[in-house]
Amino acid sequence: METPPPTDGDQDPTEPVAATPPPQPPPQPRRLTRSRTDRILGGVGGGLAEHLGIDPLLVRFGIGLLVVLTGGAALLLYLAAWLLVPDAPLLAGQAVPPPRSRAATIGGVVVLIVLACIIVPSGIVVGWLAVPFAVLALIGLGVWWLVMGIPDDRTGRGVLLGILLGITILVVSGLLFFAGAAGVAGGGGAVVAAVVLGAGLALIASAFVRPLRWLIVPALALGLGAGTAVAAGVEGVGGSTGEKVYRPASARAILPHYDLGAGHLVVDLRNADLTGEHRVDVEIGAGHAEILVPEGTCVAADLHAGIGGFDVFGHGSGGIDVDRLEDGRAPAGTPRVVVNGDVGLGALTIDHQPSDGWDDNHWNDNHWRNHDRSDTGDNACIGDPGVQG
Amino acid sequence: MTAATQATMPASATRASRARVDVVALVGGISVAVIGALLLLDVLDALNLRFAALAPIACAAVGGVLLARGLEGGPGRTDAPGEPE
Repeated sequence: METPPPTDGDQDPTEPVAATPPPQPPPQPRRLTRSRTDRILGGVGGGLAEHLGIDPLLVRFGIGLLVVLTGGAALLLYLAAWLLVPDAPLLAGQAVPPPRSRAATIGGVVVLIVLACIIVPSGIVVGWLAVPFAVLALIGLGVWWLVMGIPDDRTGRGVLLGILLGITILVVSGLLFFAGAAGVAGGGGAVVAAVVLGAGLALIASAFVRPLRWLIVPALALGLGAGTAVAAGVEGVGGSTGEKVYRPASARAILPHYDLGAGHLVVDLRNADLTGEHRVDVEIGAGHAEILVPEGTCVAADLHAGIGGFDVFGHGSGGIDVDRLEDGRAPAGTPRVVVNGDVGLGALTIDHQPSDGWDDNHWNDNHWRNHDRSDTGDNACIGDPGVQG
Repeated sequence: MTAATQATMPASATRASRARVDVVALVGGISVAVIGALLLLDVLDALNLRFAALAPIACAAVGGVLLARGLEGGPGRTDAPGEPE
């Protein structure tokens, strides 16, 4: 049993004092140094990896990614670290590496500066391209973690392989998402639903035998893609796509129903010589439906959009699962058009003039902001239109 | 079961007796099956699936799988039945 060391108060002055170890210097904070042994350019990446205790390949990959993301500006940071961060101290017995010639060092710095000057001006463009890839890599990592778990091999090679695997799963799942939506839109909703249900039951059964975890992400993607299409109301709208323009020349030529799978649908009633009341059903899966009526027409509307919005004579509304009801009455002698509109994903507009938002089939974001109402008139209904939604 | 018979059991049988349900696959399967069933009901006109219902169901499905994955027992642990330990 050890006796506790005497304290200052009860120390016997006749006994010899045991030799106390010399006071230890306070622990020094770990300094970031440039590696002498793991060096490609200035040893910054190697030193950072030693400081953080991670694989140098990961650090170099991160530096490369940062250089790409910042359009080369990170090269200046690397240069600053090269100049400001000291070399790692030599260990006992470690041979002094041959000094790099001054000319080589200056040459390396000049090359980096030139590269930075070349890349920085295009940094924004590069960033626009690189940021989605970086986000994709992060999502890929997440998918990899979900599907495979975190493996023991966390070296740079293992992580990169995991990112690639995650991105592959993600891409396949994205394709399945659109395949599910397309299947529903094409009228194969029952088949897609049965496949999803079957995959779910297989997963449940596998949980007790041999788990098929890899099936979770693609099955969810297929199901959610189909669910999005179902919720958007594009079931069975078919594969008709592109631009469809209907211009009935008389009231008799007005069809009771207009539909389009995806694209731009225009129903132009301005030359239809409207009298009395007319009903028009418009259904579009994804895109823009435009109904043009002559001035002095009362328009009542019962509209629904899965994701999107409406613009009825300049009065806009939108969101998810949007309903809008306008039930105005027409004054005597005024034609009335009752529109029953269903938009899966997109917009439906009712106006007197064609939208300027579609220019060569490309949607112009400025449409909603720049739409001038002063020259297009308004709804000719009387009373409160009773906008809901 | 006596200790003697347990000692003479083959290793595979011992492993099978300790086999557990893979919670991640089970939760994922239930989530996928629920979505599939809702789709089927919509196709059969038994209900009208809209975003107001689909969005929380989708969040619950994905969140349930993530939760099961996270509560599984720490990083890297995959004690799934049928897999070597």
